[in-house]
Amino acid sequence: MLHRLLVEPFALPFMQRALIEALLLGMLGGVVSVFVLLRRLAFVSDALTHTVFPGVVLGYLVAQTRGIVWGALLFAVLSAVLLTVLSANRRVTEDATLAILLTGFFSVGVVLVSRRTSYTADLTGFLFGRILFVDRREIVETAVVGAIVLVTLAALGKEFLLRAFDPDGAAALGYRLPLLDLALNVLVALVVVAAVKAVGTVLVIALLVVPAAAGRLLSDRLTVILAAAVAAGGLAGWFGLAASYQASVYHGLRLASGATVVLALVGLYALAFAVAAGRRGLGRLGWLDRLAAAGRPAGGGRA
Amino acid sequence: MRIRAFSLAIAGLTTAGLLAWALGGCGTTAASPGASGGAPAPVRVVATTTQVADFARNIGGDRIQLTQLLKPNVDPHDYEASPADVLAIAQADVVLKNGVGLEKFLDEAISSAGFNGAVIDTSQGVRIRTGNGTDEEKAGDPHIWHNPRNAKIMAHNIAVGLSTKDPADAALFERNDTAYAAKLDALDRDIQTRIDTLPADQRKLVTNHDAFGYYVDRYKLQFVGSVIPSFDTSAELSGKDITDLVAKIKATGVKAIFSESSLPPKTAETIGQEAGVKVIGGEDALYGDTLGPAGSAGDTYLTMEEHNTQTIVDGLS
Repeated sequence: MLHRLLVEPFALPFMQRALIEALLLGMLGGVVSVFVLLRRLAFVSDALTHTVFPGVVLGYLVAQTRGIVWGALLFAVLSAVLLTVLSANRRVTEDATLAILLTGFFSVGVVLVSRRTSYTADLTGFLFGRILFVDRREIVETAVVGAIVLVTLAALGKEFLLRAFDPDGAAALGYRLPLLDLALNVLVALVVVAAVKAVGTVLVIALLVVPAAAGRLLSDRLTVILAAAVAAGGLAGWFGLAASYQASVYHGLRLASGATVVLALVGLYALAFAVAAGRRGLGRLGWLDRLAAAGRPAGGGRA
Repeated sequence: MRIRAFSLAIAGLTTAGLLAWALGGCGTTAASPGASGGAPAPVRVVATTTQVADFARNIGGDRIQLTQLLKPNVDPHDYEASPADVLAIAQADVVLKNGVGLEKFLDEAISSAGFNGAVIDTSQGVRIRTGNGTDEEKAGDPHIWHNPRNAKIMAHNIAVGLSTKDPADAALFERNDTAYAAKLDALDRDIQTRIDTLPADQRKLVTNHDAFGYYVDRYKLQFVGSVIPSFDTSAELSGKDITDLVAKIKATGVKAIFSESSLPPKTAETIGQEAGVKVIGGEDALYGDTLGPAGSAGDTYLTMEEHNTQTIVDGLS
C-alpha cells in the first residue's frame, strides 16, 4: 500500500525528474530557511520573489525562454544589492525599504508586460510553476545553484550566525556587516530563482520560510532545527508529488503538483505544531505529577 | 558550529545521488502501450482543448478512450499540468491539438512524457487568419473553430488520424465524420439565417477579447474592437486603449459589448458604462476560448455556437 503511494509513481521518468528537482529544492530551501528564520528575512524572501519579475520579462524579451533564468538571476542579485545598500540608511526602516523595492520592481515588470502585449504562456509558467516539465538540464542547473549556496554556507555559516546572534560582537571582531548581509541576501535570491521554475513565484516563499519554522517548533538547538528543516523540505517534495499523482491519476482530482508540494510542507508544519503542543502539554502534566509526588508547594521551576 | 560539516555532507550526498541517477540512465522507460491483438482495445487519445475533445468524441465514439487536458471555462494560459495529464500523454496512441500556436504548453508536456507517437494538428488545411501582430499570435489567429466550416476540417483531420491508428474502425470513423459534417453544415446555415435577421447596419461586434475573428469573417459581421486586444488575457489596458474603444463604440452605434465566460467582465463593464451600452455577460456570456461545463448552454461545440449566435442576435436586435 505504502509502496504504491510513495514509490510506484516515481517509476515514471517525468515523476522521477520532478522528484529529484523537488528533493533538491526542498533540502536546499530547508538549509537556507534556517538563516532566513534567524535573520528574520521572511519578508525579504517574499520581496525577492516579486523583484525578479521584471528580470523574467526582460530576459524573455531578449532571449525568449532561455533568457528567463538569467534575467531573473540578474534582477535577484540587483535587488539584493539595492536592498542591502538602502537598508544601511537607518532613517527609513528596512520593511519600508523592502516595500518600496518590491512594488517598484514589480510595477516595472507590469509596465513592461503591458507595453509588449506578448506576455505568453512561458511567462505565466513562472506564476504557477511547472515541476512536471523539468528536464535534465534544469535539474543540473538547480544542482549547481545548490552547490554554490551550500559551499558558501559552509564557508560563511559561522559568520552568518555570529551576525545573527551578536551583531555588535561581529562588528567588533572586524566583520563588515553589510557585506555579510549582502552575501546572505544573494544566497536567498539564488534559491528563489532556482525554485521559481518548479513552484512558481507565488509559492516559492514557502520553501524559504516554512521548513525552519517547523524545525523551530521542535527544538531550540540549531543543529536539530537544521536537520528538521532539511527533512521537512525533502519530505514535502516527496509526499506532495506522490499526493498530486495519486489524486489526479486515481481519483480524477486535479492537484497542481507545485502547490501540492507546498501544501505538504504546510502540513508538516502543522504536524510539528501539534507535536510541540503535545509535548508542552505532556511536559506540564509531568511537572504536575512530580509536584504531586514530591508534595512540595508550587512555584519556581519549569519542566 | 556544525553548519559547515552539515552543508558539505548534504552537498556530497546530493552529488552522489545525482551521479548515480545520471549514470544509471534514468531507469525505466515510459509504459509501453500493451494489449495489441485479441479483443481490440480502444485507441487512447489525448485532446488538448475542449473543442477538439468534443470533435473527437463525435468521431471516435466508444472506440476511443479520451483524455481532455484543458477544462471548461479555464483560460489556456492558466493551465498547469497534473501528473495524470502527463501520464495520459505518455500512454497515448494519438495526441490531438488545435494548433496555430494555441497549446504552448504541449511541446514541454510531450517531451516530459517521453511521447513519440503521432500528434495530429487539427488545423491542417484551415485557412489561418493573420494574428493580431503580437508574439502570442505569431502563427496566426488560433480561434479557428468559430467557423463551422473550419470545424468540419478539424473533425475530418481527427477522423483521418484515428483511422491511421486504428484501421479496423476506419469505416466507423468515416461514417461518424460524415454524420457530424452534416450537423456542422446545418449549424452553419442556421447561424447565417439568424444573423440575416439583424438589420445590416447592426451587424457589429464588440467582444471582451479578440476570439471571434473567424466567426466575424464567415458571417460578414463588422468587428469594432475588443476589450482585451490579444489572445493574451493577462495584459492590462492603458487609459488610451479604453478611450479609443469607447470612442469607436459611440461612433459606430454598437448596441452591446459581449463578455466571455472564461474572462472576468470588469473592464468590459467599465467601458460599457462609459460608452452607454449594455454589457452581456454572466450566464449569457459568449463562449470564446472553451466550451462550457456539462449541462451548461455551451457544453458541446454545436450548442456553444448556437448559444453564441442567439446571444449576439438578441443583444444586437
